[in-house]
Amino acid sequence: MFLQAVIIILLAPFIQGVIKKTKARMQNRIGPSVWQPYYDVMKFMKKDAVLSRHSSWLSIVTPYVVFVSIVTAGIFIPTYTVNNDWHFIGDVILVVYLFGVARFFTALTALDAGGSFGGMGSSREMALSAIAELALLLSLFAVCLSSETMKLPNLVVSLTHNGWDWFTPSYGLAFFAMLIVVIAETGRIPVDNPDTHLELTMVHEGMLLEYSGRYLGLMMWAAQIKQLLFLSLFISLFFPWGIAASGDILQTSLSFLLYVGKLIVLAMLLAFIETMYAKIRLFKVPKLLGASMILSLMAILLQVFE
Amino acid sequence: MEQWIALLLLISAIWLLQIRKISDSVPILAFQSLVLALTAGAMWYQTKLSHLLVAALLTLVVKAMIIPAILHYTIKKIDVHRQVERVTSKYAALLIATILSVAGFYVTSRLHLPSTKFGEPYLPVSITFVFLGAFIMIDHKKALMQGIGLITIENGLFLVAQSISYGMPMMVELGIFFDMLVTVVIIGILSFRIHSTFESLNIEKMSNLKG
Repeated sequence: MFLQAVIIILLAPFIQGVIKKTKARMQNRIGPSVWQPYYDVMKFMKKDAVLSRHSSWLSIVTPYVVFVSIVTAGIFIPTYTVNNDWHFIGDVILVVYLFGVARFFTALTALDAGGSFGGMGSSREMALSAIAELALLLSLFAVCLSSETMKLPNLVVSLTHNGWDWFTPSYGLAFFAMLIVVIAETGRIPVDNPDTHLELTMVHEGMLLEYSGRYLGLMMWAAQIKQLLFLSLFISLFFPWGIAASGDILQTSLSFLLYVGKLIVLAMLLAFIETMYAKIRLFKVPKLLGASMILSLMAILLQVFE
Repeated sequence: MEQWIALLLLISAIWLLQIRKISDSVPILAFQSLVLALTAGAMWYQTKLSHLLVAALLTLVVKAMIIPAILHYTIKKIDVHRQVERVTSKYAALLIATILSVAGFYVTSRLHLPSTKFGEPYLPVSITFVFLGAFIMIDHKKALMQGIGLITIENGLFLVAQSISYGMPMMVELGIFFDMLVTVVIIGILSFRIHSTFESLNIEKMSNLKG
């Protein structure tokens, strides 16, 4: 378990780098190296933090709370092995609400220093997350109904045991619903643009403006880990094949390589979607998430009545 | 496989409620009828009942080709390429459509309708089709969309008959197809008339006719 947490923490900037590099290549740019997010994080960690005089203890605590709650959520998501000692503690709902804790503290602290962009970013984030969380839970339920368990490791085991029976309409609908949610939650382009600091577009970035130095580094790293975790969740729900069931060293390392491969492919897919589409207006995002909800509702419908 | 086809049909019916221009509805309708012809063809392949093949071919020719062609011609002549007008908003319509599909699935699971071996997955979808077709007729204000709702209802009834008893007797089916064709021609002619009288297809203006 300790190993999984370390791997999640260390792998997250790499996936961010892969997405950025793929996107740059698709736009005919060379782009920064794949390792650039690591250099960024290291640079931020070395620097001293400057805090506003008006900010309270929340600004100091929040980066740690966010980082820890996101890494804790990562422990419950099967990545390269289902041999998880901790899964008796929590299931999918705990994962969703650990992300909720992180989001709550981020949005609260954005209001703390009294900057105008922080308030705007947090109001946008909360308005979107009110819908995104529901869409995420519904699409998770749609998948979990098929194996009648909410525990992710058990779910993955039963999915891998089903063979070709997984190919049902409700699973297909849940796939698209979940893809929309993953894009929305990781803050990728049709919903939020992670690369700009334009006040018209930013949602997540707007909340980080008051941070500097190692606090900013921690927050950015946590955002990258969250992105990695959503990709892992997507992989373990829809492409769990080849995941190691036992603690065998050879099997685990093979499954780890496969996991990294799947992550890279999925990251490239995200970059591809980002290049294909323009960012949609903020007021249209609830409609996109509403479409995702309708898809998962239909998936549940087909699952229940067939 | 049947479930995937049923899913395609369900999506096409909900899609009809989400169009932005009236002319978008014609390809969706053609697609819906094409899938319907596919189901009848697949059922013929599984049961070897020859009248299902005739029904499939007729669906393909009449519903997936001739009727969309007539509707397309009408839309082109009247030149209603503008946005659709509806009573509810687009997303309220989506919500109501979902509720109607839930109701359709629930009703079929409680009714214990007799269903054939190969037609069972289509039964809930076909009941939902009748609901959604009626809702299309209620929701849209343009006269042409009433016809499209009617064809959706008819598609649902075709599917009900197919999933309960492998289709209706040959004569009945031929009669229904002829009826459909005549209905669409009449819808086209009436649309021309309504358009030339009111310069619009909005059915609310027809209350002006009251003496």
